[in-house]
Amino acid sequence: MTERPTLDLALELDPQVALRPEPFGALAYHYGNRRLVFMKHPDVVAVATALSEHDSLAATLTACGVNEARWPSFEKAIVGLMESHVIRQRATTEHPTTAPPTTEPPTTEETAA
Amino acid sequence: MSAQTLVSQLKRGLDAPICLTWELTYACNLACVHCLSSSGQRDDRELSTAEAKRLLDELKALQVFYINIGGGEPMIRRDFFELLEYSIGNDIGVKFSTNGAFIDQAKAERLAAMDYLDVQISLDGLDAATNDAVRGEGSYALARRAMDHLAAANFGPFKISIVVTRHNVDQLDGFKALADSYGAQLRVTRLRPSGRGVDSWPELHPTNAQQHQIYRWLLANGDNVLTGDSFFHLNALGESLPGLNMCGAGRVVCLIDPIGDVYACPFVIHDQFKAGSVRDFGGFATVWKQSALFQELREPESAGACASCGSYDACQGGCMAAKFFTGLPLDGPDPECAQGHAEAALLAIDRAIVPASSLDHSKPTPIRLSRKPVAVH
Repeated sequence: MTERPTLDLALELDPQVALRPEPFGALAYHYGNRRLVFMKHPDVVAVATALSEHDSLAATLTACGVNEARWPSFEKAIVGLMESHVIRQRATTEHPTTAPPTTEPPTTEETAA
Repeated sequence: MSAQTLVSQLKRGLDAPICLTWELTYACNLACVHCLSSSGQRDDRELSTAEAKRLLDELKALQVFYINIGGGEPMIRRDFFELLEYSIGNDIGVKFSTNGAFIDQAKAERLAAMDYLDVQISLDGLDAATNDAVRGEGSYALARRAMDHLAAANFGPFKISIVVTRHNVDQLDGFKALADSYGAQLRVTRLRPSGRGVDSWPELHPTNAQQHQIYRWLLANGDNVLTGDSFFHLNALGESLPGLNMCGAGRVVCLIDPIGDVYACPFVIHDQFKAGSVRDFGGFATVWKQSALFQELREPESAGACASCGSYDACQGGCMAAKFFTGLPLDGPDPECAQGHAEAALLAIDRAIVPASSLDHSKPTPIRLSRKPVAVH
């Protein structure tokens, strides 16, 4: 997708994603691809929702007070959320991005019925 | 957090359901022998349009992302499109199940123009003989016609929803090919002995050998096939199937019936599993959060007779509804326990004491299962 390290990217929640706070973190639902994603750590939820206010993931982690020793695990979590289209690169004049595909068939549905 | 920790959190219940089914009406043009809700005739107490919209307002406030609409046949309601548009306009996505009888070309185009909408067409046989023996004369043709209309309207990937029975297990590859031919997505779910299924289940449910066959098929195809996580009882056979391995009843799942009664899941429309009504003071949210029944279902369950079986962690003892409506104890093996641990108990059950659904909206002359599939000439 890009050769820049994820820590340097300007990111945001996908506009088609809604977050619902839960005791374990949050439920993320993507209205486009109908995927339900369990965000299993409250700190990751806090970072994900703050992304759009900062120039990069690194700046967001600093602003959220995340100790640098923990950055690799956060970076991994954010990459995972990008793969499920919960988070995307923010369009900027310097680094325009293409929107993630939203036409793929849904792969998760109602759970535990 | 490990997957196990997540599941244990989910078992304690969430502030709002993840998966909420709302049966819009008990009215139905068909009389399927395995109907979970014993549908047929409309109930006079059905929620009005205004009540239905108030419920949707409440679900929006609870941040319910989407609802599963069913019936009966939901498209029979005159305000069907009005409610669909109201829900989607309030950011509550809709997945609805239909037999397709009311999807003509114009309606298919109207549906295709809506965002956040999924349509599931029910089909229980790859040919008219197999399907119509369960769903009624002419129902195969109606379903296929609806699929043709949706495809012609460029709806996109609609879903074809199969309930696996003894008679269609061998057609799973064919169903997949049919779905692929439409650019549709296949959904395969488990037959429950609920509603009219109390009577038809003994003759329709897959044999033990077929359970193994379903498991192998899902392992090979599961990533591209939706299941509603309904086959977790088969995890006792080895590698876990995709999805959450737990009973979600009253924890992350519930059912709202056409008259507003709230049940623990779509497969237990029975007084014993009724938590309250959306018409009660406090509405749906109070029922969901405070009902004694749901509080109880969120307590750790007992493995009971399954405790000594090494597979309990894998299969969780199976489906509560399947046990209840076959007369088996809830803290014992599933009637379709893949290890065969329920077979002796099932044989010992006196069919006369098996609980029947508390509500029966069947039309006076239901289709009988005794009508066997016939060859197509």
